[in-house]
Amino acid sequence: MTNEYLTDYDAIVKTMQMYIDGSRQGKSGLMRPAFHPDASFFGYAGEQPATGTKFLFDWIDKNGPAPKIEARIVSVDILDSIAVVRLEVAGWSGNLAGLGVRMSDLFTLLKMPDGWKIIQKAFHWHA
Amino acid sequence: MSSQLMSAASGGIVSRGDFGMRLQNTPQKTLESWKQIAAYLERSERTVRRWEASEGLPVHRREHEKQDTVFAYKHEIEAWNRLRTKCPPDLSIDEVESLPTVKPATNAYLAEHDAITRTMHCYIAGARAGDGELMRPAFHPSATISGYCQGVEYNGSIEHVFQWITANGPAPNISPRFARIEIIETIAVVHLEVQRWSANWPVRMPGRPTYSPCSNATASGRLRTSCSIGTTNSGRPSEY
Repeated sequence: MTNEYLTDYDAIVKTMQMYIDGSRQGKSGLMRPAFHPDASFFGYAGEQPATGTKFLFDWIDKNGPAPKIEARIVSVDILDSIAVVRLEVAGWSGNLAGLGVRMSDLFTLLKMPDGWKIIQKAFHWHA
Repeated sequence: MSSQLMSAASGGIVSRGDFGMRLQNTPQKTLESWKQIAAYLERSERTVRRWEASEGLPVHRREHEKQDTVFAYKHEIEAWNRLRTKCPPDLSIDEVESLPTVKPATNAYLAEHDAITRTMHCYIAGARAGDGELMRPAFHPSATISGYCQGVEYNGSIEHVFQWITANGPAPNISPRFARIEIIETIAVVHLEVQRWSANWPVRMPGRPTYSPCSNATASGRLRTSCSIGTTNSGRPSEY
């Protein structure tokens, strides 16, 4: 019986959960293990292009707790060693986010010996 | 002549409206808080909140200025519980199908997403129990099925699926995962991956994934390995 799909799917969800937990608690340390060291990060923060995971991690820490975050996985597309995940996160709050903001995220993940790692995150901020 | 027709038509509509009113006016026994709902189900508040988010536990809300309050109808909770207890608990699914959503969905997108998930869980419950009637409420009466099962093409009424599910019998180990939930306003497509089907039916497909795109637009389903059910489903979550 092959359960590779289930194993991969569940491992990917676990990685995404680290991202969500870090976002909710405002602690980048919780989400760092989900990211590949060379991961990229792109999107617009207002009018300004935001790049680099350092920007993301700093932002998460400065934003602080966002306890009302609700996340839904919209799609998980697995191709052997790589995957694309689309995440919808509503109810953002915090020092930088403001109130009730929604974010749509696209993640690319790579299957590594120590689990699925985010290698890219692109986000759209619904103003 | 035309006014006669019109009055006949509106008469029909009025009588339907009356029926609806009577239903609404029936006194209901309600549970008035998460605490009461949790006590009624003999579970923790955290658990019942999770069940609402991921398993369609029917909880209603009253809007207030400061904070919404929740309530639930006992008869709805009972109906949900009957449906649910027919399905053996599957912890792994419980864990991954629901991201921890402690708070109720306030965002419009999330509310739709959750309503669709609930509809799909009705399908899953029927598949797991081997009871076509259990999943019937999830389907529009005019829904259709298309797909290949061991080289045989299946096309036609969704009744075929209900019959197949019942003939197949319980499949307690199925492991569904939501590969995609795509919502465009009033329509949606769901791609469900289901592994670990088992069967009394001559069709044997242990460990084979079934690829089930469900949509209200096109009847489509294709074979991923040896067998597939494609269902067309204009999901009818209770909110609609």
